[in-house]
Amino acid sequence: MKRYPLVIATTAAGLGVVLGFHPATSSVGIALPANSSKVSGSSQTKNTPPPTTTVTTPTTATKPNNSPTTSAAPTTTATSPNPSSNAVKSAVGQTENYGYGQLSVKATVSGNKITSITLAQLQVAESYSQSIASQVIPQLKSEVLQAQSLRVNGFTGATYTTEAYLYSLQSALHKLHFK
Amino acid sequence: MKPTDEVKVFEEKVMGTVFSFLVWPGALTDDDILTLVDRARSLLHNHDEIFTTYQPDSLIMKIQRHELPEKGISEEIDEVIDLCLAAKTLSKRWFDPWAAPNGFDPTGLVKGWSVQKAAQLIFEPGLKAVVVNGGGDICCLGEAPPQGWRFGISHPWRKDAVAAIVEVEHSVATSGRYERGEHFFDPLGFRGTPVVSATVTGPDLAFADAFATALAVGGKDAFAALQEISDYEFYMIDAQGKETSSDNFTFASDN
Repeated sequence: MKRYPLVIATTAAGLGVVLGFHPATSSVGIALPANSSKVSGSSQTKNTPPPTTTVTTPTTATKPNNSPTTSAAPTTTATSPNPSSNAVKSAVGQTENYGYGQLSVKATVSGNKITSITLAQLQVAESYSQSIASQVIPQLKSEVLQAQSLRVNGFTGATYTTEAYLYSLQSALHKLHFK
Repeated sequence: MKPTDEVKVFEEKVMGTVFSFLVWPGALTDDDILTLVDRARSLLHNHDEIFTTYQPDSLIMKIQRHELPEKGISEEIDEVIDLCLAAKTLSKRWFDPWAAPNGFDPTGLVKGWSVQKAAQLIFEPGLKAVVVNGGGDICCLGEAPPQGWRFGISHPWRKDAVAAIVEVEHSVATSGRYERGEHFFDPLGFRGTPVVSATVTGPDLAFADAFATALAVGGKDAFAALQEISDYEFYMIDAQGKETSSDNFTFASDN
C-alpha cells in the first residue's frame, strides 16, 4: 500500500480540536458531545469551537476499475478563470488500499479553504458490504472541512479505512498545493 | 547520490498489522536507506516470532506455560521483562503482564518496544529523521518538521474521523477498542472503568505503550495513578464520549 506522508502545510483552525461532532451527521454509534471540552484531571481545558455543519453531498461513485493502487491521475481542474487565491480547484488523491478494497478521495479547495471532499472511487471487496463502507467513509469530510487541516505525519489508533481515506485526502490536498 | 529532503515511505505487514516507515534520508543514499529499512523489517519479524501469542510454539508461549524459565532464554525477552517490571512499578500495577489470565503476557508493551527498536536501528548517523508507525505505536527520531510531529488520534466510534491531533516529541501510543483481537484484563481484578481510547506520549515508546494499555483498562482510576509519572502525558475518551487529558498533553495548536 502506498502511503502519502503528510507534510502539507495547512492550518488547523480550531486548535487541538475535537473535530466537531455533529449529531445530525452521525449515523454510527455515539458522537462526542459537540460542546465537550477536554476535561483535565485537574486543570487543562480547551476551547472547542462550535461546530459548523457543512453540507456536501457525498458522491459515492463506485468505479470498480483495476488500475494499480498508486496511479490515480491528478485531475486538477481550475473552474475559475481568475487565477487569484480564490480559484476553485480540485484534485483526486492517490488510490489507497484500505483492507476491504480501494478508495480515493477528491478534494476541492477555494483559495485557502477546503470546500468539498468526496469519494472519487470506492471499490469494496465482496466480503465487505458496500452499504456499510459508503455509510461510514464519507463521514470524515465534515470534520476535515471544519478543521481545514490535515497537517499530520500519521495516525494513531486508526483503522485501515481511516488511514486510507486520510492519506488519499492528504495526497489530493498536496496536489493542490493546499496551504 | 544526491542527498534529499524528500521523505521515503516503506511498509511491512508484521505482528498482525501494517508498519509504516517514513524516512528523511539526509546524507544517506537510497541504497543505505533500503538496507536499513530491510534490517528493521527483519528485526520486526524476529520479534514477532519470539513474542507472538498466536503461535503455541513461540518462546513467549512456552514461558507462559512454564515450559521455559522467564529469564535467560533470549536477550530480547530479558530486556522486555525488565521493562515490564519497571512499567508495573511505575504504573502502580495498572500494567501487570504477570496478572494475565493465562500467565505472563507482555503484549501490551512489546509492540511499542519493537517499534522503537526498529526506529533506532534505522536512525543511523547522517539520517535526517525517521518515523516508525506500528499500528498506532509511533516513534519519531531526528529532526522534526517545523510544526512538530503531529498525529491524528482516531475517533473511537466514527471510523473515519479523528478525535484530536497530538503533537509529539518522541513517541505516542494509543490503545483501546480500535482493532479486533485486543483483549484487556485488569491486573487487580475489576477496579477501573475501561475507556474506549487511551493515548500516551512520552520519551520511551515501550512505556508509552504499556501505560496506554493500563489506561485503556483502568480509565479514570488508572489515570489518577499514571498522571504522577513524570515526562508522560495522557488523553482518554470514555464510553460516554467524555475526554480527559493530563495537564501537559500537547494537542496541536493553531499555528
